[in-house]
Amino acid sequence: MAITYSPIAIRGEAVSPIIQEIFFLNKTVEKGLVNFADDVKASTIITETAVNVVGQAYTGERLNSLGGPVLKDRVANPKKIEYKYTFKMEALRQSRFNRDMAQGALNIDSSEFNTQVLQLTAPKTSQDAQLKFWAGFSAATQASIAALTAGAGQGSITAAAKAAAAGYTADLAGVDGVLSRVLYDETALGAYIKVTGTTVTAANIAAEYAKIFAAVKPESFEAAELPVMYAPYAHRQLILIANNAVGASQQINFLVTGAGAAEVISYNGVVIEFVPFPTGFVYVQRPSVIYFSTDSTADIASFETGKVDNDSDVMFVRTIYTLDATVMAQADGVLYGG
Amino acid sequence: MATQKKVDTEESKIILNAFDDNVNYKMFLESLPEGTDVELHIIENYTEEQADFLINDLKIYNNQ
Repeated sequence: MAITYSPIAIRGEAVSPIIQEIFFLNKTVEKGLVNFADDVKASTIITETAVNVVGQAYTGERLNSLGGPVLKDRVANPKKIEYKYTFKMEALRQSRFNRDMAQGALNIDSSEFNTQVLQLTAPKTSQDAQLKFWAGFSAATQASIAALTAGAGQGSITAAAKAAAAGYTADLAGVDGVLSRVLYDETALGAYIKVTGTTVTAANIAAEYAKIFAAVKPESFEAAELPVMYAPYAHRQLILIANNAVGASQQINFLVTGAGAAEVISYNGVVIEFVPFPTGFVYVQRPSVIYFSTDSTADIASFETGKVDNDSDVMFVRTIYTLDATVMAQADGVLYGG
Repeated sequence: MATQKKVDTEESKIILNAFDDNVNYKMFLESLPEGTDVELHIIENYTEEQADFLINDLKIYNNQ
């Protein structure tokens, strides 16, 4: 895409820095919100295991075998994703960016443009990777979900969840994110613990989180690794509004500690992480069983730029990375809205 | 609330609880006697919260 620019011919001073758009940072990578499987070039097997043990009455005789190990393999097969756009610096020649162009008509390279505009590509790509990781749906999985028969109870997907899945734009690179993997696990409906949802507002968010909390397997809270609630960004504001309700309706249901980047919000001791999870869903799971598989996490936040051809001024910007989401121990996860 | 309820019809059908495990809407709706006002049945047999969810989700289901 060429540069979209509404320039004013430079007549004097120009304010620096350039004001950037607001966007979400990739907290998933920065804070390590899940388990990162780096150096995954292609297919990689991830295995989960459990052991069923059954105590029987001692007889002194030869006993029948009861129980045994239960293993499950899943394959992480990262999709390769590329971003590319082209542009000509010539579009900047009349603008503020001409101030640092070297003398000579051939020289139209602006370092201010490079450092303050092009550099934005890296975090924006990173943000998009995060969106794909949590909310990506491949067209194939959307079709599979559409074929499920809806229901209200455990073992069925709600009609609302089906409608939501059908409504998302299919990922162009065919990435299935965490929600997609949880709703549809390889060949069938996921084994998630289902909590039916409603439209979450500041007035009901505490009650809805109580339902989610109550559905978590009790033994999860006795384990070394506590589960985390992965919630949509919008819930943060609703939680804070609910906590700060004035008058008799005020109930401090959520614990908020710290501020800014150090802020931690929790419900009954369970940390809530706000990620680009689609509105209407909340997922509770141990971070270590959610895999972000990629060749290198550094790929996501880097890009390459240069001239397309030596005999033209067309420049390119490219980012290439690989990504797959894999969710293990699915029967332990609680999905609100599923 | 009981999970199943016998209804006196010619065939004495068992009405399924829509919230029971592995009961989907197709099975639930087929278990209702012919001519049942579905919304009224839900309001009379489920908690207010369950009824609100079920009526809304069935509307979406019927449009799919």
